[in-house]
Amino acid sequence: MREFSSFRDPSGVVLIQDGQVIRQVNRCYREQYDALMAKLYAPLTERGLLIPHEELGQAPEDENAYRLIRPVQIPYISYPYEWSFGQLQDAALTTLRIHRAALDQDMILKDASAYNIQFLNGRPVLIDTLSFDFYQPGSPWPAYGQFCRHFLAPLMLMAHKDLRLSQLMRVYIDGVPLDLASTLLGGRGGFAAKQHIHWHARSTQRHGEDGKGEVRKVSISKFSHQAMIDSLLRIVGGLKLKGVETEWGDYYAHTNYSDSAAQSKEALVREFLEEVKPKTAWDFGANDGRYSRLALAYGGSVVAFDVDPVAVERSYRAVKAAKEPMLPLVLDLTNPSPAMGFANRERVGIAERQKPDCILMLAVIHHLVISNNLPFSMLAEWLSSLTGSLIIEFVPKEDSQVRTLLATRDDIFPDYTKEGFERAFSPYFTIVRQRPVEGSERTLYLMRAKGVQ
Amino acid sequence: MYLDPGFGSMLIQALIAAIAVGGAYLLVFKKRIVGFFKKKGAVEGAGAKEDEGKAAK
Repeated sequence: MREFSSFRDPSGVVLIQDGQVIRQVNRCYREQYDALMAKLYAPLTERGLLIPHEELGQAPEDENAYRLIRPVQIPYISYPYEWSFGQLQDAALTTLRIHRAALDQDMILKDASAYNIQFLNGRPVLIDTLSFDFYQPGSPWPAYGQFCRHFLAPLMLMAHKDLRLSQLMRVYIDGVPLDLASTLLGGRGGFAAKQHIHWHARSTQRHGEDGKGEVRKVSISKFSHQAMIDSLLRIVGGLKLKGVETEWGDYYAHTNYSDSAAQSKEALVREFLEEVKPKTAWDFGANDGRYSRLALAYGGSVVAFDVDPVAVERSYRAVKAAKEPMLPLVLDLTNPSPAMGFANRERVGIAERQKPDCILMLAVIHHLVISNNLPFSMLAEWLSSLTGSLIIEFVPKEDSQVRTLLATRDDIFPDYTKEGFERAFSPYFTIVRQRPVEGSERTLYLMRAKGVQ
Repeated sequence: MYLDPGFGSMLIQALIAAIAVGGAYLLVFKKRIVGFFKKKGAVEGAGAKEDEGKAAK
């Protein structure tokens, strides 16, 4: 079966066979593919920049096909609007490093799409093995505009204006338009922004609209081309988030848990996980991934979602240092990533990418039900469509954090009780275990979705 | 004639790449000066900072 989003590039096709991603290399891409394999594949995969693959012996059915390759499988596909600042920055650096290494071998990276980068064991890798082409002497980088829209513009907006501007990537599927980035940045970002955003935006507008611009072949020497990429590497590498703290960034420092309650909760989560032994798990409201990490004990992968980009950033740094098969992502549970792009099928929603064995949902329910007025039953129905097993913590009204949430609003939640919670979940889940979290008012449940073995 | 908006991205690279070459030379120059004064010791080190500032301009 052909993967829907791989329609742009004539060099090959992405196929899904028995749940595995297979890439077909077309005959028209034969020379580039052979050159890549001869000169670049080994150094790029050794540096962890390009996804490794194996060539399949089977004869391709398609007469256009030259080779079939099976890349190492990515456990969970993610998109730039779900990444923290550091994830987008590392993805940008990976893109630049690959192009820089390719130039040394008289090749180029012809696309600089953020969607071609995915995370594997905490590190960004290029997944599009067919993104390479031959370097034509004197030619500028054809992917430069795309690089600025997909990486540099959102990174500069996040670093210099507001971290939340990463969400512009969710609106503009081909990256942040440079004239918009230019307006939003204003005078921030120094000389780097002046060149790559402001001048670049003006040049794109002037020479894109009326055709009055001079039509001539642009030529830059290879040395200048390399210097430009080196300069971009310094600019991207030098971007930093300054003075960022959000409401949940310091959660564990401000939690109402005592040490003993935290330990009790951790022991219970471990015990419940031991019953499920998930190969794939999601953690909704993962914060810095403290409990998500427990699900790694079963040899699989974990996606740790949180609404707070600072918590996700912190989690990512830890994951990257430890090279863990965990993927921290930014996600608002009240408005999860939708299906987008052509026919709404190029980028898929969170649930279409994986059905995890288990979902952890600790200390989140009161935010959804009380802060967001979401009925228990709607939450239960949604969760049961996502997973077979659920480890969920109920936080009662007596809990100090719920009291804080209710302090400034009317209590219109008569059913927000332990019994009401169990009643609402029972059509969708069977309660397998329930235990009080010692030292707190809370209860931890292990549930199994009905209709799932 | 309609031009691809990508043409503007190509065109601006001629200017940006030229600036990058200038920047690269300045970096090498700066490293040499810093390296030179580091060898000479702390007294001349203060002078190096001045020169470094000029080089960056």
